[in-house]
Amino acid sequence: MIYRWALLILAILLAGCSAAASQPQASDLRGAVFDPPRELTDFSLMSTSGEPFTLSEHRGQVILLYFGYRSCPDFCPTTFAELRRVYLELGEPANRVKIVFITIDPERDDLESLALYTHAFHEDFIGLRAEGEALEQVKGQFGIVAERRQLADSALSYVIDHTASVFLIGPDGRLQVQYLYGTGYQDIVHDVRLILQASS
Amino acid sequence: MLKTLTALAAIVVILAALWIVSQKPTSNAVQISLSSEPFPLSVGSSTLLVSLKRADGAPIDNAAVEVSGQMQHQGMLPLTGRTSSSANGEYRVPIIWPMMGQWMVDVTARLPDGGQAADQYEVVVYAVPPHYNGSRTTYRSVSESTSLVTDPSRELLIVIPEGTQAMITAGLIDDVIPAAIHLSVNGQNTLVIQNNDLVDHRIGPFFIRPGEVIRQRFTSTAVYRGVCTIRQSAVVNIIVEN
Repeated sequence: MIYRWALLILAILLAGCSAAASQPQASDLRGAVFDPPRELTDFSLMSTSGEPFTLSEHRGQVILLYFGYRSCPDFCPTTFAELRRVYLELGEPANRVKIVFITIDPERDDLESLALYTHAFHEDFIGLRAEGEALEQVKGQFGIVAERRQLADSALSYVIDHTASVFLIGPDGRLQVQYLYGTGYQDIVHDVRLILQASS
Repeated sequence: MLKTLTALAAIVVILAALWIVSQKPTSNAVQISLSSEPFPLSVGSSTLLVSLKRADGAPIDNAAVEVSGQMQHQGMLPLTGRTSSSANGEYRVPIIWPMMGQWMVDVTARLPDGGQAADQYEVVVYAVPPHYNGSRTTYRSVSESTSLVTDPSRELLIVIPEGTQAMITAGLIDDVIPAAIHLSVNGQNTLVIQNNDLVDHRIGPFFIRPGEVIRQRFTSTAVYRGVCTIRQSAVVNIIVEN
């Protein structure tokens, strides 16, 4: 009897040690890792799902967040094509991983057109929209640069030079990793798996 | 019988391990922390706040505390202040700062039991009170400022010292880093940036808040060009080569 109890205690302790050791270290992750992870002020923006998207309601999930605009000719579609590959490769249910696109061009991107855009990549992807100070506050937390550049003789009228990174918000709601433009989808998949594994 | 003995031995080992892990350090070392009113400091009158505590958090009163501020500036005399009066382990030392810039502040405490404790702090004195809404309320000791462990053969460490933005704005320092940061996929392939300043900084694609460290290992060649807040030209290139 004592023998069984001892084995049980040992197993519990070893499980605890194993869980502690599985917390991803900065060197285990392939993106740019924030140490400590950045605390984020909660935000709630209107989404393409028809409901507000509130950050704090997504604890326990990994959120891959990108700031872009629907008319972007290069960085945004390229990045979202990669995020589609990430999502398909992960094969996680939508309540574990969220792919979120926040428009930095609310003037031209309404929720309807955003839904068409994000769903073109995957029906689970979510578009968010805000204007003015609400948008600036969210951008400010991630250090998003977005500068409008006028185009002469173009139907686009203007493009926006902007930060093209993908940001990973961990299950604890803090900003954990930044992926620079051009990061391969395998690297993001690798990190998301590690983070989900550590949190489960 | 053998099983029982083995089990008992295992339990003893486990309990001993748990006991060791749960023990807090019993060292009688003194913890010194330095803050100020106002925080952060600016030129003119201020009060340095020195807090003395035992390792277990108990405040130490009845010590003789001396602070000495020195600036690496020709002709600048050191500033000193002393006090023996305290409340709940906190000693208040008035100081008038005559010049903005980086100061080294030495804190020495002669303890009531005859012992002595000392530490050294990097303190930035601003020309005008900076807007600061961060969470930090104490100054970093010199040992803390340089505590980040990196492997120079693989990692390139950039530390943004406190006061950097203020110094750049005042024209007192020029570029903190070169126009191009070179990394090598097969060598020094990891960029580590530590922001010790009180304000946000941007180095190329990285936006780093006060107190944060960001660490990026590069596995393929690339060039990142972007805004840099610690260069007068405001531009930096991060070049990752083979």
